Amino acid sequence: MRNKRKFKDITILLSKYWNGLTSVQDEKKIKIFFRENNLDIPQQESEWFKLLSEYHPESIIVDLGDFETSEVKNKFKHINPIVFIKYAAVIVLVISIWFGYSYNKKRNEEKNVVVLRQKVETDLLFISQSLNDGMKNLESAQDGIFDNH
Amino acid sequence: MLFDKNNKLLKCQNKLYRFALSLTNDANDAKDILQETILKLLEKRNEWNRFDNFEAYAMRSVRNTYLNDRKKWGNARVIPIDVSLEFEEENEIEKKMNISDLRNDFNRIIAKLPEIQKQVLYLREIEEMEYKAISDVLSISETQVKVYIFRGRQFIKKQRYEK
Repeated sequence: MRNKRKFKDITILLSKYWNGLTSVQDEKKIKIFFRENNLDIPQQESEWFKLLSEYHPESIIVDLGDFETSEVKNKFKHINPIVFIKYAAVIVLVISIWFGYSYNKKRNEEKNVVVLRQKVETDLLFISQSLNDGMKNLESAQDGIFDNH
Repeated sequence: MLFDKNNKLLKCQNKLYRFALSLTNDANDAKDILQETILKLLEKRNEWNRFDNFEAYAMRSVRNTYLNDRKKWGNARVIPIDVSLEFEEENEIEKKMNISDLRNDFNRIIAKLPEIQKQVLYLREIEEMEYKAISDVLSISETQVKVYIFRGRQFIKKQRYEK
């Protein structure tokens, strides 16, 4: 009775299978069924499912030998991102300091030129005023001499 | 470390090898393709997190490498199944003769199918992958995957069971 039920269930599943309507879970059930049961299923049909149920792909493993240690490691030396960031930060810092220093130097030079110019202008103004005063004194002295005569 | 225990690539390495083996039918060619693919994947390891299904992405890379190789070498590297049978039996990788025989039986049954249908059937029947994952690996739509599975099974049924 139990076998009959099993047979009926599997027949329905097989019909769905051949029409591409089974899920992965259904197909696993079919494989398990054929692995564990020897019911009266047509011989040819059971061959295919026995093949699938006995085919355990996990048993096929690959040994890449020294591929990992030699070729891969030489070709792809791992760069630690933290180390990379540290180096990048140092470079950015050095460039920033250099820019800051150059900018300040330039600014100070410009400032010095302005101060010197102002100083020269003040000095020239002072000389000009002194000359004017001298000229005035000279003229008044000349006027006094001519008046006495 | 590139090959630490949690490395995604290491986890699916055997699956990638099996897929390469199903494409080439030759253990040495499959190894070459796998190594080439690993190098390519490592070059793009910064992009790995972008992919929801890394395994499907890696398998697609295996297939692309295989197709590029085939384009490059023509049919020179494709060994007929009968020849590869003898070769496989001596191969150290497949120490268990049983799995080798089963693999060859499977290949023989689907031998007459078009290449894409073989790949779809392999991924579904052997690797037990969902339609979505298969469509990701082979860059085809899910509907196409369903159609290929249906046609493939119908072909097997007709060839083997309705003689």
